[in-house]
Amino acid sequence: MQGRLTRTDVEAAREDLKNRTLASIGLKLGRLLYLASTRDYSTGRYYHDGLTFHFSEEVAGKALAEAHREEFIGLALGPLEDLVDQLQRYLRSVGAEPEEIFRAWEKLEPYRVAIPIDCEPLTASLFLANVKIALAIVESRQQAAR
Amino acid sequence: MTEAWPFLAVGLLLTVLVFFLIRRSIASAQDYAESPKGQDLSAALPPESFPRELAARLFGSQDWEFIAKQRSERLKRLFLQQRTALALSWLGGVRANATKLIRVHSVAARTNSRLEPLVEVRVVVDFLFVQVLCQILALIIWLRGPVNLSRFIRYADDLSNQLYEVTMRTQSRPAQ
Repeated sequence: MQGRLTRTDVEAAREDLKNRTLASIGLKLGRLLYLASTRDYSTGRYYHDGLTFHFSEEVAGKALAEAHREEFIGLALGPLEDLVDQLQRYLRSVGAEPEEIFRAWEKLEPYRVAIPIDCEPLTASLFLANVKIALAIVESRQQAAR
Repeated sequence: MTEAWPFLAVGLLLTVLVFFLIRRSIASAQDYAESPKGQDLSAALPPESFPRELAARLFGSQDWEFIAKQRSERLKRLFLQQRTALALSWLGGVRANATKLIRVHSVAARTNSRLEPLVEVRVVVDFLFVQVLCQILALIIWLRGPVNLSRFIRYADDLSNQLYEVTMRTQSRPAQ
């Protein structure tokens, strides 16, 4: 009974997260990076003050982890064309010099933090490979536009 | 007649290669079965190694068609290089899963005195078929990339799942 109650709480927390926070982030890639940023890199736990205020820390953490996983799977297993479009729009929204962003993304690979902890390794590899290819496409489009 | 020699030589070479691969797979399965790790039948095996969407994405043509539209040889090379590595990993996973299944099955079979010979033959044939098919697919992927192989991959995946089902069915039978 308690398990069912917790599940309902998690569902309610996910709905709250979707309507209040994620709805304001238009890009799927933006939502993914935002959800990944709510995770403590040392422990892998997710934190969100607003959600914790309305629900418990445990429920908020589970809702964030599930939303993160769902958003990740959608992008990782989705069409490459979609990822290229997302990346192009995301990089434009950052507002920095394109060359600077490309160099940082290629060298530092900040998108690695977007991978959920319990992700199947080959799906994670596909995501990393797709981002590399998408980055090369966006970069070549930028060069062609100049 | 002399024109047929190269084909006969390639055929013979492939036969020998398949024979050695099968022998190696069976030998390693037997070694594992005798090890303490192999005795642990409680280790649950997943019905599928990877999600179906992953195989559809890796071996489908949608992403390749998008890359082809970019008209860049560099992008095509990068795409094929990345996807070939991933596709070979996928095949390696399917093979490893099949080997794990046959190992668990061979441990269970040793403690079961009421074995059904036909089911045992089917398990071994399915296992060998998965191994050979994965080897052939790996060769094809290595030569021409993983694009447009969805149908064959689905077949290998179905075969692997079939092996899982037969193995699990024999596992659930009480040992006598």
